[in-house]
Amino acid sequence: MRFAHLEVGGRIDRYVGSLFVASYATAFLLVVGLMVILDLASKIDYLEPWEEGGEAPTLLALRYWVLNIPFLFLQVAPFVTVIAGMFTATRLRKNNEVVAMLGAGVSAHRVVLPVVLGGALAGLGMFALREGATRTIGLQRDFVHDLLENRRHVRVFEDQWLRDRAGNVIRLGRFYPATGDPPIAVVEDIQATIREDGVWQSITAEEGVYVQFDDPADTTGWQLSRGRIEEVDREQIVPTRIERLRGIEFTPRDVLVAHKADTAPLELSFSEVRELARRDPDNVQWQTLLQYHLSFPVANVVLLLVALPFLLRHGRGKGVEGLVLGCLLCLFYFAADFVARTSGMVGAVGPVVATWLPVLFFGSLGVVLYDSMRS
Amino acid sequence: MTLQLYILRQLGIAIAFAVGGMAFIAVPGIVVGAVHKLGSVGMQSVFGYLPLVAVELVPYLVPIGFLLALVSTYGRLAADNEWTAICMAGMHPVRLLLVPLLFAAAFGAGTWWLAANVTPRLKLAQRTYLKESMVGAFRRLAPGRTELRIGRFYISGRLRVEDTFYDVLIHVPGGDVGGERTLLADEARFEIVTGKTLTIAMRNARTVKGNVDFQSERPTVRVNLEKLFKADHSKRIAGKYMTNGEIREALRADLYDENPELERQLHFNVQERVALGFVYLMFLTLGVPTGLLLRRGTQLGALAAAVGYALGYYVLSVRAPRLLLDLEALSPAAAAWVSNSVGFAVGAVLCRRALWR
Repeated sequence: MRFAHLEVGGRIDRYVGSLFVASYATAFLLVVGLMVILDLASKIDYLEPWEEGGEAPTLLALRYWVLNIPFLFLQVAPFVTVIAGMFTATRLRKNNEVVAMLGAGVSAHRVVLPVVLGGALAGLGMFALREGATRTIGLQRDFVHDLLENRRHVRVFEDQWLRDRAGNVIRLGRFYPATGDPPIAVVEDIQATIREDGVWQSITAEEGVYVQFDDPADTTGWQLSRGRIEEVDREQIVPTRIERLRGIEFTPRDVLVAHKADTAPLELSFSEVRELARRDPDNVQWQTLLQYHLSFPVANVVLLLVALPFLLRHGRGKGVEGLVLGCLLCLFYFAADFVARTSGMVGAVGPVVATWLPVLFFGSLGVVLYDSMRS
Repeated sequence: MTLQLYILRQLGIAIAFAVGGMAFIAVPGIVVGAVHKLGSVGMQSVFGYLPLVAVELVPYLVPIGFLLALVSTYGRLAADNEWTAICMAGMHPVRLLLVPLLFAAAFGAGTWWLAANVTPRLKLAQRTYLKESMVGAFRRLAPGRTELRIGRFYISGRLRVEDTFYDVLIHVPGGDVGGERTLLADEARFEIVTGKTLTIAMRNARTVKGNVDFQSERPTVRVNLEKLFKADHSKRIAGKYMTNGEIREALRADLYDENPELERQLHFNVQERVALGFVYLMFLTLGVPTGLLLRRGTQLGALAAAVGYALGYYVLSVRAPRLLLDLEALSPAAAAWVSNSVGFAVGAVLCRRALWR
C-alpha cells in the first residue's frame, strides 16, 4: 500500500521511525533526568532529620523517586515528544537526507509523517500510562510521599471530607488507611448527612472499621462503634443505634482519592476525576480536569505540527533560527494552555473552552504551518 | 588570544543554549509543580510563587547547563579535529581550559552568594506564601466550585449560582461564638466583609451537630477568616533558614554552646554552600574529558553521560554528607565536601586519560 508516493511502513518510514524512537529515548533520559533532579532539589527537605528524632530511610526516599518517575514524565510528556521530533528533524537535515528525499520526489510532509504518527502514539500512551500507573503504583507512591512529606511512620488523614457514591457529604475526623496487623482501614469520628424521602438524617459514629461481612448481598462495609442515626429536622427524638453504615457508601480508596483531590488534583487519573465529577456534577474543577485529561495528550501532535515546519526550512542559517522559533511557539502553547486551564479550574471560563481553546488555536496554526512546508 | 576568544565564544553560546534549553524544559515542570502544590488558587498566586521556586533551582540548572555546554563544546572541538590540530601546534591542553575556569569561577561565586544570602530567605517565604494564597483564593470565593474549604471550615452545596449555594452543608470549627457546629440549609449566600469576616446568610437552616438556636427564618453566621488557619507549630531548622551572616553572628555569640549538634549543623551549612560554588570546577573536570573521549557519533551519548554525572552527584549529595555528619565520622567541613571529592576523584581519572601528554 502506498501513500504519497511512498510505501506505508517501507524503508524510509522505518528509517525515520527508528530515528524518532532513538531520539525519543534520548529526549526521555534528558528531560525526565532533569525533572528528577529538579524534583530532588525541590524536595530535599524530605531527607532532613525529623523533629521527633529519626529520619526518612534512604531506601524509602529512593523508592519514592523511582515510583514518581512515570508521574514526572506525564507532566512534561509533550515536551519529550517535541524535543524528540526536533532531534529527528535536525539529524535528517544535517545529513542532507531531507534534500535527497525531496529530490526523489517525496514530499516533506510524507517524510516526517512517521514522526507525527509517533507523536499521536505517544499521546495515546500518555493516557494509558496515567490510568495504568495510577491504578498499579499510584497508591504506593502516594503512601511513601505522605510518609516523607509529613515525616511520620504511620499514615493518617485528619478532618477529611468526601462525597459518597450518591453524593452525600461525609466528614471523617481521622482516617487510617492501613493500621494494625493485618492492616485494615479505620476511621474515627464519622459524621455524615443523607437525605431519604425528603428527610435529612445525620449519621455519627465514634469509630468505623472496614470489614468483610458474611452477608452475600453486602460483602464489605464499615462496622461501627457507637453508631447513631437521627433525623435532623425533628427535635427531641431518640437517635437509633446502628452497627453498620447503611445509606452511605464509600470505600477506603474513595477516601484516598478525596485526599488526593484536596492536595494534588492534577495528579488524579481520568477515571478518578470521572467518578468525582459524577458525585459532584456542578463542580467546575472536575469538569475542567476531565477535559484536560483528554486535551493534554493531543499536545503531543500539536507541538510537533507547530515545531517541525520550522526545523525543515531550507536555506543557509535557517536551522538555528527555526529551532528557536519552534521552541518559542511551544513555550507559547504551554503558557496559553496553563492560563486557560487555570481559568477553567477557578471557574472564570467554561471547562470545555478552557481546555480545548489552546489545542484548537495552536492545532490550526500547526496544520497551516505543516501544510505550507516547502516541498 | 585568538584561540581563547574562540573557545570563549563557543562555550558562551553553548552555555546560553544549554541553560536556555533547560529552562525551556524546566519552566513547565516548575509551573506544573507550583500548580500542583497551590491547587486552584489562581494565576496571580502561581506567578507570584514561581520566582520563589525558580531562584532555588538556579544552583542546579546552571551547573548542569555548564556541564552540558562543556561536553558539547569540547566534544565538537574533538569531533572536528580542532583539538588534535591545537595539540599538534604545541599548545598544552590545559591552556585550553583557561576559559572554562573563568566561567567556573564566576558562576561559582554567584551560586555561593545565592546559596549564602538569598535562598535561605526564600525557603521561609515559600512556607508562608502557600497559606496566604489559600486565604486569598478563599476570599475570591472561587466561582464555580461547589465545595470550599479553608482550615477546618467547610462548605459544600449541591448547586451553586454565583455566591449562593443550594442544599448546602456548612461546618464551622470551634473557637468562634457558638462553638463547633455543622449546619444544613436550603440556601446560603456568602459574602466577605472587609476581607476578614465571612458572612453566611441562610434560609431554612437547621443544626446537624452542635448547639445552635436559630431565632430567625433567615439566620446569619459570621466567621473570622484570620482564625481559620492552623498555627504552624513546626520548628525552624536553624541553618536552612539562616543566611551566612546570621549563622556567623549566632556562632560568635555562642548561642548554641549547649547544643553541639546544632552547632555542627551550622558549620556544615556554611561549608555546604561553599562546596556548592565549587561544583562548576568539579563538573569541568568531568565534562571536558567526557566530551573529548566520547567524540564519536552525535554527542548524544556524551550528553546522556553528563546528565548521568549530574544525577549521580545530586543523589549522592542529598544523603551521604548528612549521614556522615550524623555519624560524626567526619568533621562538618569534611562532610560537606564528600560529594565534590568523589566527583573530583572521578574527574581526575578522566582528565588524565583525555589530557595527559
